[in-house]
Amino acid sequence: MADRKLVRELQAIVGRDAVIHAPEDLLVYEYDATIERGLPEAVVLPTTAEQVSQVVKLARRRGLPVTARGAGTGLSGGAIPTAGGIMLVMTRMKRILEIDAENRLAIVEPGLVNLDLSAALGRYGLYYAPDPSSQKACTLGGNVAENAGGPHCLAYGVTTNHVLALEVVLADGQTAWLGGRTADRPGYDLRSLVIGSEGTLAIVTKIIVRLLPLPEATITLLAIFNEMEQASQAVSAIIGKGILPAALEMLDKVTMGAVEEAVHAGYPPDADAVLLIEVEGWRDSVEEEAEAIRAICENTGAREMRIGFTPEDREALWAGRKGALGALGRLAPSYYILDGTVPRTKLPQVLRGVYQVGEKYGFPIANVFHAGDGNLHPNIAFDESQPGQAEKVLEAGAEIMRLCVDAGGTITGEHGVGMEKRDFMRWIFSDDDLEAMKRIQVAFASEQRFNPGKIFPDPVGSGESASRQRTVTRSLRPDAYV
Amino acid sequence: MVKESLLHNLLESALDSQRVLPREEAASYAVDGVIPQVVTLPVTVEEVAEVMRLASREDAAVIPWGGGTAISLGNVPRRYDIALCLSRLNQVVEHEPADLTATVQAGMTLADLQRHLAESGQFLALDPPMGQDVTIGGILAANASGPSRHAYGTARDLVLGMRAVQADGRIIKAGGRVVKNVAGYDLSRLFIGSLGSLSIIVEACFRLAPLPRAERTAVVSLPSAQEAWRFIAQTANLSLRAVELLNAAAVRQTATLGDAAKDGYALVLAAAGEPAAVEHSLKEIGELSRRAAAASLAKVDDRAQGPLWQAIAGLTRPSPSDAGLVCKAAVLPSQVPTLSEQIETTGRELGLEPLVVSHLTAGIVYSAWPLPQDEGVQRPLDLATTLRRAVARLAGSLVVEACPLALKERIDVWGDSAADFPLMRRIKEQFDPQGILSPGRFLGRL
Repeated sequence: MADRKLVRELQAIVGRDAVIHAPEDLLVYEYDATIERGLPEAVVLPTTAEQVSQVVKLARRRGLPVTARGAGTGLSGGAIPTAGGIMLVMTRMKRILEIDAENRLAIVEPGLVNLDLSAALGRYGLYYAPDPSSQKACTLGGNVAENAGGPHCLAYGVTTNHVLALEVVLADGQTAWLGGRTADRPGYDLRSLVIGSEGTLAIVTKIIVRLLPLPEATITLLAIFNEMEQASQAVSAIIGKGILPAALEMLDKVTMGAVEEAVHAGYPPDADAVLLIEVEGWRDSVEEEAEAIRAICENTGAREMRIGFTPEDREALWAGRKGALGALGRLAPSYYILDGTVPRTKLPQVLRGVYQVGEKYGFPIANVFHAGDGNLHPNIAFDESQPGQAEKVLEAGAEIMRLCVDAGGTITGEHGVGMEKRDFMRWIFSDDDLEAMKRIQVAFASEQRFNPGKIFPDPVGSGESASRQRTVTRSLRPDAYV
Repeated sequence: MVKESLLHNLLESALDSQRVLPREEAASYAVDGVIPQVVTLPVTVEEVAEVMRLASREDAAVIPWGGGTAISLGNVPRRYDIALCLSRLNQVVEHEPADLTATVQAGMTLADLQRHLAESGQFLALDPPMGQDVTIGGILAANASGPSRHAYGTARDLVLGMRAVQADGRIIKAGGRVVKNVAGYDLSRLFIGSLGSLSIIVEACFRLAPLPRAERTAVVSLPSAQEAWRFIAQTANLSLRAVELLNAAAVRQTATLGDAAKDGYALVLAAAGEPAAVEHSLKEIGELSRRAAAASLAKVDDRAQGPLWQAIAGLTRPSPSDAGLVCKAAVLPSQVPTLSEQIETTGRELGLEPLVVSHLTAGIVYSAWPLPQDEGVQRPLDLATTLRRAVARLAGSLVVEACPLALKERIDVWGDSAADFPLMRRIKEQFDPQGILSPGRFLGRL
């Protein structure tokens, strides 16, 4: 809880209605979509970059850390104020400041919800490509902090490929633009450093995003396979043929079982895997691509194909994928969502390993993931109330992460390192690599100020970081997404 | 200042003597007239690290050298002792066609890499204008790009990870080999475009693209740049790889363009992808040309396409003599017509005829200004100042990519720095505290 003087000083900057400090009110802000906990001393809801700057300056004078938070949909504990201090909740800064349709860019505030941007762009025939599954709730500022991805990143890339510039408040309270509306700004690419920095380098106060024209036509295909192996082969064959679908998602048998009970997507109970494939572009070529994909899936053994041309039909095909995470709650009281990327060709091998880990620990594991870019999301179902289960699930998760790394992959494809994976960083980066990253933090002078306790592992010899003890996601939380 | 013989001998004893060139060859590795004391050609990453350990111990300034094709870029080096030539690090480390990724050493030429990838029906979607000898490391250090950026983006969109040798000789890895990766700070993108001022890039992993199954090129002649912008605004859903806008002078320099755009502008469009989509795009372009009052369309013969695109790349390639001036401006795409016309006006006022070539949809406007060998400094200086002012009014940026040395000594070729410069300086200090990596060459003479 904050001391009265701090509250008064914060109120002087942002107004009385924009400071939350009562202990019972602060509870809302102590977690995100993980069940990590950390209580801020005070929550501030700024409306301008100037207010953010003033708050950061105040925090600096008082030696307090500052943690930014968007909608709290993060899956790595990125918005948990591990060291207390001031939390900046950016959700009141949610204006679209400018849409330049001609140059296909928009200037927005960080609290704007991802989907609200694309909704506002529809009448210009434009949209914003990165589409995390939480896009109805998550904010663009959060997307920038985590370098968020989404199902449609296969063809279009992740957040960093769609952000031209950021207005940020630095650790000394100064405001600066990193990047610009125009391309190829001379100088170091500071914008790319801040994107994906998980709130540790700067507080983003404005974002210039790149927009894309809405495709003329979209076709969604759903292919049902008896064997997971066949589905994996189909993925490789599609990419190998030079087709880059807009999305290429896979659901495994465990997921399908749960989905079937929840949303009745019409998945056969004895099928092993489903591929959801979307192609976009000019009408005729999209039809041609869809036809080619259908042929590939049938050749690799698809037992059934469904094709959606209208928005309603496509929506129906996506229903199972979009409802998957919610449906998993039927498997067990809790689940732990993992996020790792492997080279596409290693998918079958790594998936086999994932199931073996499940068997070894006695947990059902549901896989629903971005197959096209090798981004796995194993969900380990378990019962948190059983003593020792949470520890066991973390062990199983670590083993799966290890499988990804050993296959030449990485420990996070789109959720971020946050708290839960700090210790895994050493699996992919040497001390020298980490030290080089640390220099960025030194240059930004943000180590003590912005979101401390994230990304970097504790120095050697300091023991297991306490943060990993409770990194378990509760099921049935409406704001848990992949 | 390090004694020439000392540095030479130290390198010879640290590496194999085969890795150090004879002293008389150093002159061919001069940067802006500054001749290095020694030229070294390591063959392994570990040897690059050894060179940097030695350089840092001896406080010797190092400039990495790839094919030398973009060496005109950057400010005059403050000091330059060792040319670190990476041309012998020229291997494909790993290429997994089914993953559409490849890991390549920095000294490999783009041409060699493309030949290798083509065997699997793939390519790296970067087409900078620097010609055959351009290396992967050079492209990354300069963040060089070409017409294909319309469809594929630039190096920062295609690099998945890299290995780099730091100023003190430590080898670091950034990013990885998978297409989605958010573990840690994105050092790869930081190093791209840093012109060898933060680290020596020795290896990079790229996202590849399948070679398009078909490509056709069309040339639309239009009376003005503004007309070209209006034209291109209607092509959002076409399968275009490149959208280049050439002024009449640039067209005249391009033999294969024949009679296009005698006094207006030529819009050169490459449609690429599936054959049906390419044909559709071409048909649409034809339709649009018929509807645009003053437009005329020429479809480029299949065999002539390759040479045409090479010729266009050559228009803005810095000449080896550095007699001319090559400027790269970046503005909003919609402002390209305004800037193009201002550049032409400036040319007329100074009695010069610039070639103006734009990546229209990216807002990148190149102007190449041929100058006589005996040109003094005043006219190039006036020119750079005028262009800078024009671009500044449009809130864009202008980099002088090549110019006579006399001009380079008077200006910062990168332009003015902004509010983010103190941060850039601190990053430089963190990564190169001694100031031995390409000192003085980057923005603000970092």
